[in-house]
Amino acid sequence: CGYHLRGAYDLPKGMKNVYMEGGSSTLREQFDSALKSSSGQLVDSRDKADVVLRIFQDEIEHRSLSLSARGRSNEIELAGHLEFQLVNAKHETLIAREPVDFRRAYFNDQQDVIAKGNEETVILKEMYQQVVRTIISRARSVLETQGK
Amino acid sequence: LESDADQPITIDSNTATYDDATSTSIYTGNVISIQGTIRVNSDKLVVYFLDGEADKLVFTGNKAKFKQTPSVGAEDVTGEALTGEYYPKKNLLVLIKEATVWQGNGTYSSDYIEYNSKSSVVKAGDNSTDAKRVHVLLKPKQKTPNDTGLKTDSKKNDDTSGKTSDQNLQ
Amino acid sequence: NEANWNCQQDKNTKEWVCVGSAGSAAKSMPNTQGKPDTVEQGNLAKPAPNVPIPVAPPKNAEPRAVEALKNDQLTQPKLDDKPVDSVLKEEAAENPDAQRANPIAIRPLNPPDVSEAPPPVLPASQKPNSVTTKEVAVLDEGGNPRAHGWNCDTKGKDGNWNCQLVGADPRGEARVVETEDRGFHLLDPAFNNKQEHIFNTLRDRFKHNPWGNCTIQLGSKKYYISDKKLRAKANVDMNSNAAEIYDNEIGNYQGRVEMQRADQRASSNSANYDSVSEALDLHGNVFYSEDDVSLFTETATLKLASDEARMRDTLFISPETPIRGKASAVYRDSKTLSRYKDAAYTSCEPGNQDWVVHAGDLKLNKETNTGSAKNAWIEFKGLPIFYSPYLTFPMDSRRKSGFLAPSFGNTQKAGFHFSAPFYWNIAPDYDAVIRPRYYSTRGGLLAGDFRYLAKKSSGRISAEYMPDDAISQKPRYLATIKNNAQFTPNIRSNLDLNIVSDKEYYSQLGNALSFPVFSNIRSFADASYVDKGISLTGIVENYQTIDPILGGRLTPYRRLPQLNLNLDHSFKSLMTDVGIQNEYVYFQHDDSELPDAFRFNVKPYVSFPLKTASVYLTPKFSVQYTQYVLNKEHSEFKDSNISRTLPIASVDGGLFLEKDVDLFGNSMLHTLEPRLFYLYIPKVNQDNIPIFDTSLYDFNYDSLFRENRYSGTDRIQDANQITAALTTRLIDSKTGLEKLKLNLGQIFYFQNREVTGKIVRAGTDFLFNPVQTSSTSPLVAELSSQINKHVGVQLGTQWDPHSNEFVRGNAAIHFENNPGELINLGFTYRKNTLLRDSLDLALADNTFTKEERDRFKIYRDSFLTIRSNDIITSDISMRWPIYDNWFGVARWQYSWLFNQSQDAFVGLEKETCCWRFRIIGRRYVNNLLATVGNANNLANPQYNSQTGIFFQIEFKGLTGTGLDLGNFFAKTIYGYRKKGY
Repeated sequence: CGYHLRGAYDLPKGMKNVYMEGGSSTLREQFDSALKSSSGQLVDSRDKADVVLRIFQDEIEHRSLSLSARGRSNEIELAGHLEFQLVNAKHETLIAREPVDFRRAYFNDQQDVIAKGNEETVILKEMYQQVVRTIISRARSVLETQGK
Repeated sequence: LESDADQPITIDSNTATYDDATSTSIYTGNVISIQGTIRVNSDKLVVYFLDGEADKLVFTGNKAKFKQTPSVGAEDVTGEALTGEYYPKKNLLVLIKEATVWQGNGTYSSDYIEYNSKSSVVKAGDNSTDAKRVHVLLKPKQKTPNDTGLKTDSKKNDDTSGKTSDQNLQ
Repeated sequence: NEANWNCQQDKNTKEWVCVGSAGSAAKSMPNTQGKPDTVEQGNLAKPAPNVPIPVAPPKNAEPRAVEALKNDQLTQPKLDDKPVDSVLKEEAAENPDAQRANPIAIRPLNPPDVSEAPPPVLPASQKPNSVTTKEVAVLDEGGNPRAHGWNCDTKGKDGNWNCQLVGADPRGEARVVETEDRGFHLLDPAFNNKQEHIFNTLRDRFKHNPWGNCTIQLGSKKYYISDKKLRAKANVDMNSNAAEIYDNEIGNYQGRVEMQRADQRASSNSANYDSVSEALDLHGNVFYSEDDVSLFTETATLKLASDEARMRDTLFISPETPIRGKASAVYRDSKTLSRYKDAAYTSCEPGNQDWVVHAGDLKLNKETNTGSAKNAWIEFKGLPIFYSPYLTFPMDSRRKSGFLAPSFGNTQKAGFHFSAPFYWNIAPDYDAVIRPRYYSTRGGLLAGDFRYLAKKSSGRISAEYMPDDAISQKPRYLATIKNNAQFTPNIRSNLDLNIVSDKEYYSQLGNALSFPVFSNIRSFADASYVDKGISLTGIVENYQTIDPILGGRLTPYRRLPQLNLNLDHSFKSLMTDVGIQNEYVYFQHDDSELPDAFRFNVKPYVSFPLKTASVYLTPKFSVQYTQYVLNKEHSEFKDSNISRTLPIASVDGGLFLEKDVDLFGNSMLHTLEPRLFYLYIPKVNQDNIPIFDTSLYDFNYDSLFRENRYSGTDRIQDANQITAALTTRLIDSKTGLEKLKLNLGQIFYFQNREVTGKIVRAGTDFLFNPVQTSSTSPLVAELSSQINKHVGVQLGTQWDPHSNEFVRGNAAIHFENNPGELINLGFTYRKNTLLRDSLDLALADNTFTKEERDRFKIYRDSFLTIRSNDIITSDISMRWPIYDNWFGVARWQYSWLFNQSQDAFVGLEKETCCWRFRIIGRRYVNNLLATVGNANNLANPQYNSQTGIFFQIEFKGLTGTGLDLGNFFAKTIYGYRKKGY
């Protein structure tokens, strides 16, 4: 039916060593594990890096989507917004600064506060995992078209 | 100097002719005329006489130059223009067309400049039209304490013949 | 002649506007630019740059009416261009939004950026658009100022037009020639048309247009600092029709005089200059400008040596803010002090007089950088709106002590309130805002914020104290301490302590805009060390409950402390990852019925990620050992020493298929990503373990792949299940951008899930969640798509085959036309049968006493209790242009379950270069209705809501007043982003 296997989980060639500037610790963590799982790594200095990923305005907005019968918020939306820019070692811009928006709502009737706090941490990890996936897929299309 | 007006005018040039009918004498070729501290170099000089006295001298040249020491010890005043008219009795020197006068730290250029050699007053331009615009450039006075008037004078004397650096600013 | 101008009267401003039709205008105005410009002697003012100027110390500076002030949020240092760790911002967003009037421009304290910061790149949009035109003398032959733009007359030498351009080329933009009747106007406009033309000319005498990009960027590059050193060494260059110089000292110039010295440029009808005393007198249509000021006046006497000046009837522009204005007389007393009589000024660009400040006399002191005005009144759109006998304001964006914008309002809970905050700039790296507030029905309150920035840390301390609340007759207070420190790239610590005197503090004294919809205030202190393969974090945490009906057993545990040590390492060659997660917690609670306990949890794991480019398979095995030590014998939990050991096995696999496909003409990549996730955890009875930090996860697509259906550690589910899921995406192959993503997934259970816990709350009782017996989980489908630049759609639904009904549904459409023009439509549906099933289970369980079961019966029959966790709400929010840059802003959140609006506001917003105005009317739920616990009026839920009017007006460059609605919009309207300043 025309579908063929093709590599999506591998990193594009020019993106094995990434130096990351800015961004929240959760995003950094997810980027580190995503790179590690496909034989790349986060390096700790600009000159060791193939590409430099700059993250601006990595913010999570808490928004109340609905109130319970008690007038307290029971559905919370985590709306994330960050902007990233990809620059190669020679400071040429590969991807100009562009936004990534991600959001997910989850039920939180503010009664099991610690448990819901744990849940929010897990949700943030999963959301940032998707953000990392989007950034890598964007980078792949740019690096590959550039490679041609 | 004020006494310049009473001094005799000496002129030397390559050729000199006198036309009695129009009572004018014409000098051409590297004309140098001197009266007291006033000294004028020009390519051509026409002197108009009025009852035996030199009434008007007209210099022309590809930039006729003139120099005068306004008062004892003061800096020389120099100037140049395509044509200049000097009226000895009125101590008035009129420079016309691309005229420039350097006096102290000032540089005055216009198409019409009157310089009174007695009162060393400079009048330039013509307020009724903007065809003869005046351009005045005043260099800042040197504030350094060891500056004395003489020092700049000596610099001024030796290169009167050559163009001082300001001119190419125009 | 053939040039045709069509003029028509503009209907609303009644002004005649003449537009030269493009075709003929170009023909009739031969562009003189091309003609070789015959260098008449000095008729063109020589632009400063190409005159070689030796560098020299400055001798004098002209009057500088500089005034800049920008409103920025004190609490949230916005560092747009520098990537910054968002932990600083994340916790700032959560804390309750205390009363924040608009403080004066605060330069953000640059936090210690330990990671190497990128070179600050000025984004393209802010590149200054330098205006390079050949300058034509601003005075025409007659000596009056030429109008801005093209001036043509027929005195051209060869008989056709002789056109001269003054200032920037308006490129055919129409300009108001003259107007007669102005219709009704309470006040005459501050600047008449002639003056506005002169302002245009003054503006174009700057190298960079001060109103270039309209935004006052905090800390933007300073274009307007004049280099005074050049002046002493620079030549004075004079041009005029005629000149008389006496004794080479006193010069008298007549006829279109143009003077220039370094950055000082002047043009006037006549001038005389005494080069000895360096006194310059200018008369008649005088234009005088320097790098940091530009003036037009009738007469001016300037002492260039000692910076003194006196001018009559002056129009001035100070580009730094930018501010423009007029004064009947200007006295420059020294390099730093200038006084203006009968001044009127605004920060709006020439041609726009939306707001103007009129002041009897205005003093600008560059030394203390403060401006002070006596009997000043503000005129907004022709209406006088504010008077103050004395007004001080900082003169530029550097932080200056001074009064901030007063704010006032009225709430039902506290009556009329007024606050006059004072900003105190103590030192370069710490400052404070003192915020006395007065409530008509409750009395006075003193609030203060202290902000500090040290080398490695920054923080804020805020406190509010009301000695005696007239209504409750007791003192009220609120205190917050925040600190974030980054000692090394790996070691970081945060502190966020909050305490409030009573539960109603926020609803009665808080900022009426951001009424608290949360129930607890969190206080914590944590420290973390994170490095390659190791992460050690410690946290101490406490919650103060401010929800009046939550008390005793319903308040959360304290963690004193919780330590987490996670180690992991991957052996590339063996393709194995190993790691261990250790956790040590001490839970403490005041309620004697609830046990305090140490919990120690160890979870070593090993996984074998087998991967190729397009297939992955990751088996993972871990063992979780948990040990509890309770503080004493406990009625419910007999043994005080409990341990639990559980193996967990999971296999996660998937593959990546794709196919190029052509949709609507552009080449897309369609991917199919099937994924299987098998999980096996044996069943261990955990009823003897108390519940500290555990409850059920909210079920969604991501939770299909989690190892535990409970959050926290006190319950580990028994599981023998496999998740089958498929993700399919449409990716634009050119850009790699995801156009559409669809997630489908379901869990197939091979056994019941029997591990349960007392995690379901009914009133003040805790009930067991029922055993799950369904063979499959609800089918989850989530679709998200960015259709084009403007429209984004998110749909999601969950269908439960077990009860054959939809249990979840949400739909959200986000439409953004131009930036800032937003429409959001949202619908959320949620049916939660957990409470109902738990109550049925409890009613059937005769271990409960009769009295308890009667109580459960009431809950079971109360519509409100059973449906209290259900949601059927629609949420519409928008920001849409209405007319002439006015935007309508609205939000309506309606609960179809309780048939009531939960939050609704409608308002107007206008943002221009020099002022911002917002006003909203809001109806919102502000406290409780029938409490869940009190059974009698459960039948018809009635939100107790309140209405309020909130407004904010801000004159950029001067001051503002009212609450900061920008943040409120950002919290309520998705996609609303506050502008940088």
